[in-house]
Amino acid sequence: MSKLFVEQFKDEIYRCIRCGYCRDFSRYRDSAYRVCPLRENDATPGFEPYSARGRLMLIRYVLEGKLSLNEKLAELLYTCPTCRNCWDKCYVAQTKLKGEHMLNQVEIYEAFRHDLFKAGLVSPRHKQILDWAEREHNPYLEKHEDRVKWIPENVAPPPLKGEVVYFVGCTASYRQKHVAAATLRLLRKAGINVAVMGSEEWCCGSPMMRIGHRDLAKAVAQHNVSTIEKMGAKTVVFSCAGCYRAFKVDYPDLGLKPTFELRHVIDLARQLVNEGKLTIKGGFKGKVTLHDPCHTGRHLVHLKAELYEQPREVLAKIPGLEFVEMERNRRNSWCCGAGGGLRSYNSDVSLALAKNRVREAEKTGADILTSICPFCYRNLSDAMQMINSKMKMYDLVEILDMVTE
Amino acid sequence: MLSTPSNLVETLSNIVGSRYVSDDINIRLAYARDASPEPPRICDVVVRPASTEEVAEIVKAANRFKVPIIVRGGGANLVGLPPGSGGITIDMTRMINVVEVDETSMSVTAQTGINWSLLTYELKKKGYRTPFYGPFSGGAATIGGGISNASAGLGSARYGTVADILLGLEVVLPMGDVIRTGSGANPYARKFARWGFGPDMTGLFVGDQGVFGVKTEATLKIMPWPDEQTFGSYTFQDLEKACRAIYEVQLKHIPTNIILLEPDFNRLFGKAGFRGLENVPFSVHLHIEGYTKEEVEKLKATADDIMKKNGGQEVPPDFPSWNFLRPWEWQPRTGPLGQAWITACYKVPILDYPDHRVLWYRVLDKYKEKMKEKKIDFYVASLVVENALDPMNVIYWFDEDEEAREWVRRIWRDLIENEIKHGAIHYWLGKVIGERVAKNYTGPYFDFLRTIKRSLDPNNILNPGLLLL
Repeated sequence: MSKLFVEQFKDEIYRCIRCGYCRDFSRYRDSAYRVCPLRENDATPGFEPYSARGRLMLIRYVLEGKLSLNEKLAELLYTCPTCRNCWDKCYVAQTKLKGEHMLNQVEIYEAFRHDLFKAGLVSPRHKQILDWAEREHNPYLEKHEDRVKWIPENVAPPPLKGEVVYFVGCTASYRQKHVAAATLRLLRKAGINVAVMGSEEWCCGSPMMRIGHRDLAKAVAQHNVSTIEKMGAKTVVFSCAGCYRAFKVDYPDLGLKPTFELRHVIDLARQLVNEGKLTIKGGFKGKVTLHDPCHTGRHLVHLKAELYEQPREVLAKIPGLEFVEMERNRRNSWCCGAGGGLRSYNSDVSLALAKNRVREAEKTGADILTSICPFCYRNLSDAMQMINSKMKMYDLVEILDMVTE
Repeated sequence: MLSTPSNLVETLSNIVGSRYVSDDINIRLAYARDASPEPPRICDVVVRPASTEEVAEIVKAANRFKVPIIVRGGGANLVGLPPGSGGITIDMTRMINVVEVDETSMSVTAQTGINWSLLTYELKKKGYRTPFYGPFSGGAATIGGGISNASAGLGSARYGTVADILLGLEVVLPMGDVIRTGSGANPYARKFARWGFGPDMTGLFVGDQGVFGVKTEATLKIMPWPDEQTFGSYTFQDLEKACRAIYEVQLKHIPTNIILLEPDFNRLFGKAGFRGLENVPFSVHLHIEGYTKEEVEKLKATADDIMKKNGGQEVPPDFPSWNFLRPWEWQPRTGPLGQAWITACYKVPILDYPDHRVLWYRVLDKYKEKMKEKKIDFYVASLVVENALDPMNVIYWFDEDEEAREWVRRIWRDLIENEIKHGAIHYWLGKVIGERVAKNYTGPYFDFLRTIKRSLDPNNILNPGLLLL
């Protein structure tokens, strides 16, 4: 067997001391209730390899030649939303050596998924998505030519060049189009003549990275970066947590160094409100709770770039809006289940996680659940329907669009 | 031979549902190790029951198939799995319900697969805590595992071990019968008293390493959550004086938690910014709880006098406030360079400790060159369990170095054997420590244990080989 990609993490894998805190550890001091969402309410069978300790043990057995790559092993590695809560609650991971975290669970899973992908152990559904994305540049099995159809007919089409570029992402382009439209309206209200990439926008590469097709991820990343640079962009704005994280974390990991600034639209909107360039007129009534996406949270804390306070600051500025926190918020936020390729790999498990999160939101007594990611929106709103929840889902950019002038 | 893995799997699937049974090699391998450096022990099948009834049926099936059962809680043990191979591993961690918080009898009854941190989380919502609140590994370690190991840890200075807060159990006996112990055995009584009819049947299952039955529910004492707390840290040049100070504080029954750090840990924490620790040989750290500010201040003043009278010099309480405001989060469980760890906790009378600890250095002297060559380090921290000191003699090594791991296993065993000869009372035993301790309990005492085991478990189904039974 040729050298595995995951071997670069051998030191880290051996640092796992198998203490088991990556499963159900709870901290009353900051309401960190349990760790692995795959174990809550029997979302999965819950055997050891459904959480970090078991997965790392299996990878270690592979490195030691005691276990071969196999289909069940692939299933166990792909049944994970890579929410990074195991990393966040792991004593070893949160201890630093020469300034670096000692153990990075999700990076290890993804490196190993690359090995599984290369060994042909990718699921038929993931293979279909990857093949499609290579041709049509999106994972939704949609035609590339339809990518720009999110642009409302009654507005002037955004320019294809400019200093501020909105990277729409596949989910808001093909599924949650209302999020893209609200983003465009909001930025225009602030006087920003925001450009879009149009048909030159390709998938950000996140699904490929999550599944393990690094070569394809790199190809699309190179395309996106060079296109944006040619557009003369100084700032790229995102409404999708996954795309934002891909540009911030995956692109440097793939060797790319974008020259432009990366901003999530909510972070930018907060600034625009504070500078008086966006005016909140009010008129919103409702009790709202917020879901922190993993990709704008735990996936960015090591860069000190997490977006926890920004959406709360924005919500606090809306008159008539009553904000209430869920028990698990910020770094302890409970994953919606959509990420890590899980939604496409096993939608039953993915939605079981989303249902758990919606039930937690319901416990607050809020009638609206909001977030800052269309992919979280998608999974949570699907779960709401499945359990006949009375809550409504809005992306925060939609709420802002409603209350600003 | 009655059993084949396939009909065993089918039988278990009929009990818990096929979703919670697996004989897949990936799953079985993931259950083959605890947190120790011991080699894997691979079972035939893993099962995750949700109820006492399911556990009872699994145990009955194991008797029919004549296959052993390994009962697994948090899997955080540091002592190796039971000897042998094959059989059924019961993963208890689906059984995490808090069954009842009985405020009248000041008790909580919970399924034993719940870990200590999760139980504490649930109790805090209602304003309660158990007095002893779990081993340092309680973020994963279950209450069932804690009872099987007679665990000490958080709260032990003031409240003792898990045995001291236990009011009763529900146990699946090795042939599949279900019993309750304590007043819970009386259908007319609340589960509030450990004794009621005959001897202490609960005690039979405390520290039994799971060989006498599968604990499925436990009833524990609770107390109102202590809202007030304070901390104290004192450095000592002399270990005997530090131990005398701890002993005198314990006579007054003051702190909830006490930790004694020795030079290596002091240096480590000192470098990490914990004030006053970097260049001191010994430091004693107190965690004092109560219900009013006046109460904790008074207790702290008394402790302060005792510490200073014995030569202690007060330093800022960075270590205990960091550690005890974040229970379960720190253990010396990873080395400063990312090394793996192993230890053996045990109890010695507080005042005996200075003489006792000399033995380690005698043992380690034999391995000095090898330890240097293989980058094996040795650190010591102790907690206090009422009248005893509970040292953790921590060995660190780089686990990817197989040869180093083998040397560590050898040194670790040598230390344990010497500790036993010097009167140490180990409590979490498992395979490695248990088989060494058991050799010292011979004659009628061991015969008595064996008679109980044979009577309860004629097919030797439950955790066979532990305690050399």
